[in-house]
Amino acid sequence: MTAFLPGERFHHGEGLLYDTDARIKLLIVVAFAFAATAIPEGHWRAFAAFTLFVAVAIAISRLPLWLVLRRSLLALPFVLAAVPLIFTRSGDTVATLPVLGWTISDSGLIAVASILLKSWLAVLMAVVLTSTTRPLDLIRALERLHVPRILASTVFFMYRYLFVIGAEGQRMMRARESRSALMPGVSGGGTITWRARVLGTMVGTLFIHSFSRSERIYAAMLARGYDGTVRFMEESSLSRTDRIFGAIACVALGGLVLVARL
Amino acid sequence: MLHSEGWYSLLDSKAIIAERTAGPSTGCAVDVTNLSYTYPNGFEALRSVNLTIREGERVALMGPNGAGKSTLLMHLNGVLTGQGRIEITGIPLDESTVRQIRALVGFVFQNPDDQLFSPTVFDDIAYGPLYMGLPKDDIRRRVSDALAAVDMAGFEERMPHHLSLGQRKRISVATVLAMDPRILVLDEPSAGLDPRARKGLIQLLRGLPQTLIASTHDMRLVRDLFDRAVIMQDGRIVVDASTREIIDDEVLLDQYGLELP
Repeated sequence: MTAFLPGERFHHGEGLLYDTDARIKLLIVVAFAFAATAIPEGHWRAFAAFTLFVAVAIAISRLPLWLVLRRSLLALPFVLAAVPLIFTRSGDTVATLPVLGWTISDSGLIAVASILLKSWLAVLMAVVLTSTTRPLDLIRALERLHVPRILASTVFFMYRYLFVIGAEGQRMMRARESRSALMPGVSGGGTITWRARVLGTMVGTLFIHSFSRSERIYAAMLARGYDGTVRFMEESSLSRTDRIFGAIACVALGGLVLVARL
Repeated sequence: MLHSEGWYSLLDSKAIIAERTAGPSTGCAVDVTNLSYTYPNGFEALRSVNLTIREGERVALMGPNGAGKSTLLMHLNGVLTGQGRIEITGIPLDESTVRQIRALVGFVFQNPDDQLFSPTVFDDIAYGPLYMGLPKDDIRRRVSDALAAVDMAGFEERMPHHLSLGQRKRISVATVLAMDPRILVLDEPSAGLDPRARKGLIQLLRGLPQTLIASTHDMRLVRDLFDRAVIMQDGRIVVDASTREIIDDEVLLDQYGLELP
């Protein structure tokens, strides 16, 4: 039941990627994701080059490979959305589904494979970023990169209270579990629809609680002079290593874009 | 006593079910042997705890925050599972008996907002009986009897978040009474209640026939309601004595950071 609590994404370790400023890492990952979306379908040489870039990133992150791969599975549900393309794209028929009679086209396959690879590569980079950067550093990076204040604060508060609300949800589940009793010889447990309705109202209750909690928190913040910005103490500037690292990554990314265009 | 007649008649009508649910009458409500539990983060919350509670006893569990009181309570209905042996009314608690034991052990959580998750008071009290698969008429009767027992008759259609803390606490008690438990477990029952609500709750609990086990810091509640007090510290039971003895022992109270009532 503890699985209900959201876990930390940060993986304790050390190395170049851990020391690099979060702003640099964030910009590189965002630039990489944009560059990856620009790869033309079926441009396998470009995909190989991008994969190499990701492999190097994983290598210097010193993260366990299985951890990165496991977390990258997060991309799977989004990929499902692309699957219908296999059938809808026109092109040479590769195979026909036995019962439904839908045809799979070669260009459809290439399109889906390309989308799958692009999103997976981008997610891999994001996994490396979130595993080597403390969440608070990432949020501060958003602020310092002048991401709209409302977005940065939303992410900040989400991170701060995710665990509080998670713990509350867990307590509610425990309370429900405590009252989910059965008597020997009497079949119970309720119908699926009833259970679904109970779960639905629990989510609703959690929302109402969170909503009134947010009002209390906001009042407490106003009482301490909140004016719309969350302020942090240190304002570190980019180190020499950060700059060099950023420059190398820029050149490599530029190279990738070139390969994709050729 | 607060509508306790209604409550007793409910017990009568449910005698057959109660017989079927409970184990052989051993006179022993709770028997915990060598119970240890370590949280996933490595915190050792319970270290070989032994505790026996007879049927009808009222036991207060005291001790500083983090001593393991709530962790111990959450083992009594199998919400947490540690190492060791637990018997409830003679039935060993394991995977196969946990659902049956949850009908015997009514757990009232500290914060009613965690306990009450339904849109109306009726739905919330009906949750346990509905889950148990009881007939509709029986459920309706249980809900109104349980509400009467906590002196909140007529609140069926109210929304829990519109009620005061004291009222929500009473409803929380009603949600487990409707399941006809033999043992009531309460986590800090009087926390945050105003004097009147507190007094009412004590009166309500006093009128119930169940075995009572409650964690609390409230020494006046202990004095007024419980015959036996158990003090925990660092996951162990360090004192187990009659309430009288403990309240009279100033050195002991001071040693475990407790106040005189």
